[in-house]
Amino acid sequence: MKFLTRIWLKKLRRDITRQKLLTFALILLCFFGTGSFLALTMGYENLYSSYKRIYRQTNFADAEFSTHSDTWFNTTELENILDNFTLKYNEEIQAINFRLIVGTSYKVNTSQGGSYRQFLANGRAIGIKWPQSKDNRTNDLIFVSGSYSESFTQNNFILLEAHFASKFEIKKGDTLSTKILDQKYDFFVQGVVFSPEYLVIIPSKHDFLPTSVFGVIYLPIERLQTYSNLTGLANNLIIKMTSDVAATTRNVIIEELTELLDTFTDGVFAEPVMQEHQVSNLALHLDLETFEEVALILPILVLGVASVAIYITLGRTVQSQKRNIGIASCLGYLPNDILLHYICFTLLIGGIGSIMGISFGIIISGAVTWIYSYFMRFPQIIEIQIQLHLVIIALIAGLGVSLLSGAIPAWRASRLTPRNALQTMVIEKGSHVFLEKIIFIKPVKLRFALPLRNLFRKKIRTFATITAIAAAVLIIIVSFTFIDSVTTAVDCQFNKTSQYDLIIKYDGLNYFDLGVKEDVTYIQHLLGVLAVEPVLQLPSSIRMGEKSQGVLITAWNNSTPATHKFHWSSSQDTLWPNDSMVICSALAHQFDINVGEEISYSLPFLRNYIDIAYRKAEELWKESAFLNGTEFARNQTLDYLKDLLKRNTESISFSRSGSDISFSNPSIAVSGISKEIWGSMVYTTLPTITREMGIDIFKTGLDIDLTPSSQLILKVIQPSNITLLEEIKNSIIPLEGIRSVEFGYDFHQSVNILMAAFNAIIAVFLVFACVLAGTAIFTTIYVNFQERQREIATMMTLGFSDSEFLTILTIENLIQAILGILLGIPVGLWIASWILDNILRLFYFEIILLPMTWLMIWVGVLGVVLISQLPAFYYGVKLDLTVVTKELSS
Amino acid sequence: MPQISFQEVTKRYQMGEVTVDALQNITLDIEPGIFVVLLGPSGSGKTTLLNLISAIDFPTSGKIRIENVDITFLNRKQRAQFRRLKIGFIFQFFNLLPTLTALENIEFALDLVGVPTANGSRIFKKKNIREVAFKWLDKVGLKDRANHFPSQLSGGEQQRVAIARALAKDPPIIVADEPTGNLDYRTGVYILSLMKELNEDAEKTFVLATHNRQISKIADLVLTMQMGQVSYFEQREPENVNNLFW
Ligand SMILES: Nc1ncnc2c1ncn2[C@@H]1O[C@H](COP(=O)(O)OP(=O)(O)OP(=O)(O)O)[C@@H](O)[C@H]1O
Ligand SMILES: [Mg+2]
Repeated sequence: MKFLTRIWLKKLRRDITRQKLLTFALILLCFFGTGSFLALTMGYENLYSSYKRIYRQTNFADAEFSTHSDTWFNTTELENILDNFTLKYNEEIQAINFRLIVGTSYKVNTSQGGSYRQFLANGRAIGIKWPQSKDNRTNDLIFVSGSYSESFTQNNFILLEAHFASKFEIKKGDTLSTKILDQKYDFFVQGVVFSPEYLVIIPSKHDFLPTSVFGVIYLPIERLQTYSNLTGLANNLIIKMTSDVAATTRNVIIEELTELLDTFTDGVFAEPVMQEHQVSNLALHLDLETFEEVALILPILVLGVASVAIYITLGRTVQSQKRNIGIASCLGYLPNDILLHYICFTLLIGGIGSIMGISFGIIISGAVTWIYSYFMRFPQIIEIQIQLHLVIIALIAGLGVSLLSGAIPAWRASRLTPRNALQTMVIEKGSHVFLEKIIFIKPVKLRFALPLRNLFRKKIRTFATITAIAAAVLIIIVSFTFIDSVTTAVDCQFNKTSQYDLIIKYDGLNYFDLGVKEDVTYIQHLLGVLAVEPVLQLPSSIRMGEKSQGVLITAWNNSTPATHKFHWSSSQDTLWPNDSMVICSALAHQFDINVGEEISYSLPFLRNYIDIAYRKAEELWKESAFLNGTEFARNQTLDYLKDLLKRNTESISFSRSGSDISFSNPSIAVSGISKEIWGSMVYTTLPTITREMGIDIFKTGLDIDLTPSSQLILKVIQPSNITLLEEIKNSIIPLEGIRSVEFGYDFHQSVNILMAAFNAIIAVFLVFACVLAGTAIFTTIYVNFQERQREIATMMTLGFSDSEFLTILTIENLIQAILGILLGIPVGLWIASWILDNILRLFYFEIILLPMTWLMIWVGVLGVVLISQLPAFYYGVKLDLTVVTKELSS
Repeated sequence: MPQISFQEVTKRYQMGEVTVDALQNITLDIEPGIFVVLLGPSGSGKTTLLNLISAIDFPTSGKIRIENVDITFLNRKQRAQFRRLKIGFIFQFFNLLPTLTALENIEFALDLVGVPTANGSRIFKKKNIREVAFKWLDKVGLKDRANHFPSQLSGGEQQRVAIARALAKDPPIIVADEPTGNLDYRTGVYILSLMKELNEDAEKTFVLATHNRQISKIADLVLTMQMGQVSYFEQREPENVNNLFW
């Protein structure tokens, strides 16, 4: 091993110390490449494996079947029906559990920062089989405090979900003031738990953000049945297969079960929700997908630039040491000694960079995981481990990249014949640049043509520099597009479009002219209230041609709602009082709908329709009978029902089983497109919906399939006056049937916190981009400079001044930077739009890059480029001009 | 008034323990328009002396006046300005800029100083510069090689371009360090005759360093150097270049 002899090692050391900055830059790139890979990959792997562990440990259900709103099934009946089924799939099915899920509300308070605030928060109670048999616990709970066995000690115990508990600092042993169906209970908190269904609290798929003010409690199903007058009934079914069931079998079983349930329960069940679409799981998954994507793209970019930089640097080192190589091989060193010597150099860089990167990456990955889980409020259940396979991959990647990129120059060095190596007079080839003639129509001063020609001297190197700058610009563009698009859209959505200050949710069903009307009048007269509007939200689907999509219809009683300012895409857009719909940009985009076109929409399941009509008729009869006597009331009620039937004969149809009433798909004109972030929101007016259904129901709730509730939306005079808002809230809470009162302000705050976290992550990326651009530029400029030392000295000797030298250097680098930026922009925008479309696919964001951002990108990148050329300039100025009198190769 | 004047100039290199006096206490005067040859063995300080004349290096002590300017204490910028206007360079290794053509290499040097006009001012117009550059290329017999890049020229041709580059800007002094060192005999003689011709026609001062005793035959003044000192001044009647032989 001659290449390891003392003299070679000495040379190696001298090679490194002679180009300290360059070596440092290369090590830095390897460091960042492996470090970012490990930090991000291990970060999400830790999260992934933690989730998987939790899902396994808690028997997370494979599918969930919920009934439509206000419909239930009889548990005993269903058990009998399912008996044969479970017997048939005895091997595959681990458990099928029935649950009852009911909407709840809680009176809780916080004293954050000294100010005491009372909340009326909503949530849901989940009635589960109790006590649970050990092997049969589907969607099992993870106890932060308490345990199943302790639970018998108290009569009125419940288990409280951990996010809510930590938000309001509720502990085991505390009392939770709960309302179920307008009935107050003081529950004893027997334990605080995590559930696989609520790792992030997203009440329904229409919710924007994870929340911690949605309280989920668990209690024995029999007790919940009693509280909600639903003895023997349930509305939710979860199924867990044994772990070794194949995906196809699983789907077959779920399909079969869906059909079975459909036939035997008169279609009370909505479409099943598979585990992968369960909202909490889906949200986490989308989050981690983003992680995963970035964890791959970023290191590839950095290591790519690193490999190019190593290739360039080593190539140049070999070039400048040609004589040494020639002499060494004349003295009898074998090609392999020379090869290994240079390989050693690159391995050293790769090795040091990777080992530093790995150590750093491990620490950061821990921090990433911890911060993420802290942010999601579940640090207790996440395990941070060093994943050895990832460390090895990082090491292989770091060493591999440096080895591969160093291999070609090293190999070339080893194959140099002594004759070639010792040849002194080698003059680089010059050539005209075609571009020169195009750009400079009139011949210009040579000192401007010179930089241009320089760019074409080592085309690969110029290309590499441009690519590196483009890579950095790409990261910057993607990051900023993210920030700008999301912040602008979110800001617009919550500050300009949705102008509510309070949302009041009702418990259960309400009719506008029965009860709600009085509340509206009462609230309208409260001090500080500017507007109060009732809203109807209906899940529906819209169709155009072949395409159809589930949507949430929001209907206002007025075509110009006070609490919602549409963000029109053109000045002609409007919402008509009758017979028109406004869709959000996402749908317009997806369906390619223009204003003026017709779409059809369906109200797919209105099982309650008859119920509602019946109850409405009953109310009418009661009221009228009291006022006008029974005879008059009878006629009036019959007239009402006749009218209802007449109005709907054409549009209502019944399913074959007679259990399902649906409206034929009415067509409606799209009269406007509102630029909002929602992926599936549609707006219309209450009269439009009422006319279609012939009944002025007023029913709403985000999670309509589970807990229908009506909603009032308030706007106040002084939104920033929290005291006034609190007063208004306190006046509303005592009203009958109110489930929750939420502040728009609180929601904004949680959005802001999320945005802040988001921006912090992006800031890290920008640092990456700058380091990347800086080191890449530095390396190539510096190597170029070293290589052209003689030429520069000649120019200076001929009388070039420092500023003229700087001008040439700057022109050359600015051209590269500008080309890099121009290349990076479209690719960056393309990736950004891909990410916005695919990763944040629940929402719609227009691609926005603010003028300020454009300015920052140009100024920033050009600034970094200009700074990175300073070392070269500095050495150029200090250059010893006497080199021009010395021999060529040195 | 001498054009180049050295007063007790010493150039010392300190390398760790070892001190090398590349030039020791040199005092000399050179009159304008003559052809000077610095003759001496390798390491005797010829290049060092040229570097000091052309202000690309600094003396350790002593004073250097060129064209009545004390260049010892000029700053970087002034030195660049000085080299630009006063000195034409011809190097042993040619040092043409590889990305510029023969013609452009000459233009490049002219670009810095412009072309003098009848009234003494200088113009920097591309057209005029090209004209002058081309004239010089023609003078060195390379007008049909105007668009060739250095890599496409032979060593002798490159050196001719270098001579044209040095002279085109019309400097009073031309320094040439071993201009024929890398050329064969015939080419060397041709280059020397070219320089000699230009020296006589344009009345420029040439300072040429060589260790080839033959070349000193064509000089008006021969300075023989030894161990950093001028050991011998010889004013002589120059011989014809064609009499040289080595
Ligand atoms: N940068 C330097 N550092 C140290 N010593 C130097 C340096 N440059 C030249 N010398 C020393 O100065 C002395 C004169 O060098 P110079 O280059 O002037 O010689 P020269 O007469 O031009 O020789 P040659 O004919 O070989 O070109 C030599 O002994 C040399 O070792
Ligand atoms: Mg010399």
